Amino acid sequence: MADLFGIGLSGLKSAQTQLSVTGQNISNVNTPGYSRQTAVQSTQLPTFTGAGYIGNGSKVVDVDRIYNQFLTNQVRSSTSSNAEVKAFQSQMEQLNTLVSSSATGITPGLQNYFDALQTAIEDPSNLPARQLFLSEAEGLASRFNTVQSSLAGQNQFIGQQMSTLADQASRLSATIAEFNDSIAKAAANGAQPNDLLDSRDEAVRELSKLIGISVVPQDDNQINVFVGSGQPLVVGSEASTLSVRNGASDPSRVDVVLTSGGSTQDITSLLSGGELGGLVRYRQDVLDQAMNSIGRLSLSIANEFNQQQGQGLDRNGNAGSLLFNDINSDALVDGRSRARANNSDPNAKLDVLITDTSQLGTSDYEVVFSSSTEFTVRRTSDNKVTGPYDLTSAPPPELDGISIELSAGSVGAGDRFLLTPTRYAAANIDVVMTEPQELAFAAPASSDANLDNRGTGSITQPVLTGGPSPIDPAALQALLPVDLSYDSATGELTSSSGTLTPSPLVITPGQTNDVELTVGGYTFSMQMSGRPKDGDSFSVNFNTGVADNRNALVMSELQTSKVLGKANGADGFSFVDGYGDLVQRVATFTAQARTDAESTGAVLQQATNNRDSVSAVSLDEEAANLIKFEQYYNASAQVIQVARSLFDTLLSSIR
Amino acid sequence: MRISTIQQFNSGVRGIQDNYANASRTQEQISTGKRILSPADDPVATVRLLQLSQESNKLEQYKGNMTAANNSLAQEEAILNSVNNALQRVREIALEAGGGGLSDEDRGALATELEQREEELLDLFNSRNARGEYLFGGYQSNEAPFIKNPDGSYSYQGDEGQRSVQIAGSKTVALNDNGKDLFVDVGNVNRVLTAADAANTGTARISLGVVENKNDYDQNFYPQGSVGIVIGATADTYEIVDSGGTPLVPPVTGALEENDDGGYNIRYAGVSVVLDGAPAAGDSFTITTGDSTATSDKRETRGILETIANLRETLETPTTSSEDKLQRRDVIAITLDNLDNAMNSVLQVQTTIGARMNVIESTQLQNGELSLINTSVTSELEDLDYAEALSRLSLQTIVLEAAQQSFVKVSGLSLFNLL
Repeated sequence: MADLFGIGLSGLKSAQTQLSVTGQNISNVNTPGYSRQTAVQSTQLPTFTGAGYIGNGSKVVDVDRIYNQFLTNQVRSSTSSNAEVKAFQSQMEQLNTLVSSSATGITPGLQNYFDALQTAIEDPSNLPARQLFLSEAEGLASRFNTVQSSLAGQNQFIGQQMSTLADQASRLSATIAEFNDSIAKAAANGAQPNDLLDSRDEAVRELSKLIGISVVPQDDNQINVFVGSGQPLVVGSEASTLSVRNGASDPSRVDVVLTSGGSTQDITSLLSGGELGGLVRYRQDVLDQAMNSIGRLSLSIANEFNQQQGQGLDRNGNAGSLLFNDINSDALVDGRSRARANNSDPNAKLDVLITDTSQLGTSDYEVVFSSSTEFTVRRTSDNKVTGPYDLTSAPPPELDGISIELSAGSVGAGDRFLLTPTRYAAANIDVVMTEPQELAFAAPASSDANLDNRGTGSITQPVLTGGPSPIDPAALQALLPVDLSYDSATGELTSSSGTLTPSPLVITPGQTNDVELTVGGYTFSMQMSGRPKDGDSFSVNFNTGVADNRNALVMSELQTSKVLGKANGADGFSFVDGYGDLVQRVATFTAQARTDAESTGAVLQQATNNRDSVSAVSLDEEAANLIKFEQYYNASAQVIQVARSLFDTLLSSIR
Repeated sequence: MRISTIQQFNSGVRGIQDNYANASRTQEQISTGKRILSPADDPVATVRLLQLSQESNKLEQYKGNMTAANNSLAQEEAILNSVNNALQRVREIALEAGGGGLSDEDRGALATELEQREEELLDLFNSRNARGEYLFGGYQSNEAPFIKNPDGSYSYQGDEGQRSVQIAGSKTVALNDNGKDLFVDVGNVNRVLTAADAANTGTARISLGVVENKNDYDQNFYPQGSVGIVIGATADTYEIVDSGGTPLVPPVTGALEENDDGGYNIRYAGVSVVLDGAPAAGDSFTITTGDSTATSDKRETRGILETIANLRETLETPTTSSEDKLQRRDVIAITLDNLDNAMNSVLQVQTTIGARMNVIESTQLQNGELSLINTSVTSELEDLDYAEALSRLSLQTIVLEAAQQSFVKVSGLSLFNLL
């Protein structure tokens, strides 16, 4: 009977334990990372009697968590990649809207600009039309400024986000280290501290959302966590710190550093996965590219129009002055190179001048000095190394449309500079012209036929094809007019000064003959047609007309001419295609990011499902367990009841 | 498979979210009418759309340019019509002035009208557009191109500039024509000097020379610079000699044949002169090519205004001698020829204006078609197929509703409800 009491009691105890495990499961149905637990029950050692072994009831030997390491790892790694893609995508979507919106994109500004130019071409002497063009130029410049400042703002915002994320990651690492400590202590007695393990797994999962990690289990139930290419974040109960600091080569961008013990290491380029990885990837693959691309476009527009301005005469008869600020002005050159902080001479400064906008690419460059004068240049987009170049050579070394020269200080072997020729250009593009009269819409020369010509020969208006830029109207005025006269005996056209090409210039009557006049370094090209007679003459004069629009027509051709991306003999593309290229790249990246987000989301969902299917709590199951264990409890109590009534029966028989 | 409670809720909610996102995207497409809501929806089409937008933008620009060109050309044509009318009237006056029965007073009255016409033409040549710019000054649109000098002559202040605007990808059209080509560079028939030898014994007078055939003149007369006419021994023939008096090889001779007015016409190498009166044997006359000094009235070209002024001055001069009458006859004849040249010159430009307007019209049609194609391609690329979108939306709504209802049903199934 005592046995029966014992057995009943053990059942009661076991049922109680089972009910509390069930209660624990039910109450943690919503706890993230919780793995359902089960109580493992076994029989107590039986007692040997003459009749054989008689059972002594049951006992709960352990509480297990239903857990699969493989599934948890899967959830962790898919969380990491999903977080990376989503961080990347959310930045991409912003950029996608920025470049395509009619309020912020470059295209509408470019169209208005050329529209206004066409209006001015129709009536070049009309000041309001010129003013409109000037205003549209300002509008275009400010669009560039806006896009650039949005991009810079995004860069800054990414920096702040990275700082927050690094802080969170540091805190989580500390938490994991603490869990490691507690778990090691708790597990010393041989039992698994289920809830601590779950909590640590959950912390690791959260950490993997922030940054890509690898987890290596230790013997004593501890885990080590590594980031990047094996930099330790958590080792046993020791955690390192992640933080951000201004970049060594570019202070406008933050770098992620890992401080472990006394040493600090820059791990920005090693990061992958997690939100931090996504942000770094966006900044490196997309944002820099976008800024460079916009910068290159603004440089090209400013340069092409300034150049063409220099080829014409304004309404007051002066050479056209700059419409946009000079692309090699101090303000623009200033941000194009940056010295490494640990260079031999902290004052050393490299000047990057843009020599040919049509050759410009969108890459950054790294200059590495091998001596005090010799250096090589690495193009960061494709890691192509060119050189060595000599710093002292004159003219200064040139590549991809830029030239490099030392403007201050000295350099030594091992010094490094980061060149960003196009990065900040769009921020600084500005219209410097204030008076609409200064727009050089007129060509510098006009031609005239003599009234006493007997023949039908006629000559087209001269086009300036060569000469200094900007032109010097005073010098030109002194050089012109030049008289061209025709001699029928030789069939030649001769000039009163300067030289004609080809020489001798034989005119074929009735055909269109090319006439090229070079005088004082200026080259004009014309065409002569018709049949001139002996002694007929033509003159090339300095143009004083205000209704001339020839130079403006050349400007309007810039709308479709291929003025960008002509490096290595490429065919090049126009302004709008240059911008279209950026839009397309951004759009493609965004579309890809969306697909990636979807697919990593699906993978994460699947992994989570798999894990939840095994480890998460099912209320129905627990409800059934409740009933089951309640009945078990009731039944065990009945056993005690029976034992008691047996005992009572025995007592009453003795009485 | 074991389904945990959290799984059941997660998948239910996710299903509803996904369906809601789909439906709301379709709704956005329907409300904007666009298939592409952001470039990422279709990167390739987006770039194509950028190009198309620039293209249609340029077509709009061309449209504006063509309207401007049409306006400017129509205005020029209207002015040239007025010029033509004035020239017609001047021609009538010249013909009338040639009539024999007119008195000096009658001619004076005609001269007064000519003066008016001269001024009218000067005003027309200095026409301005609505913006106050001179039409016929070439590039010099801010100064009057024609100026009357104190001595009564005219000078052209403009240049030969011609302004063009773009009306299609590779097509430009000229907006204006310069006054020099139109009104100054007009062929002058009176480009030779004639003179009688002072030692002549006869009474014959040589008329002003007229170049009848410019080609012949340019090829055969101009190179010689000067020729002489020598009357034969019987005073009824003549011979052309060179400037030194030597007969030409082969010799050029002819008979003097009286015309209806009692004069003798002599034609040589495109130049025609009349000898009036009685030439005597051995008399000689010279014909010399005109010079090109600015003040000379024997230049290759003579401006319209100069031609008219010339006639007016002749008509204003009272007739006293027969020499005066003959001079007037010659001037009127030359004026008529020069006026014809002037009207031709204007007509030629009017023809090119017409041609330019035709080009504009055909370009308008062409650009219109391009525009239409652009629009349809653009619409194909970015516009929404409403039928498809609406049926998609109704499907998505049904799915969403089903997801919601089924979620509520399934989530309500709990064993706890039955405890």
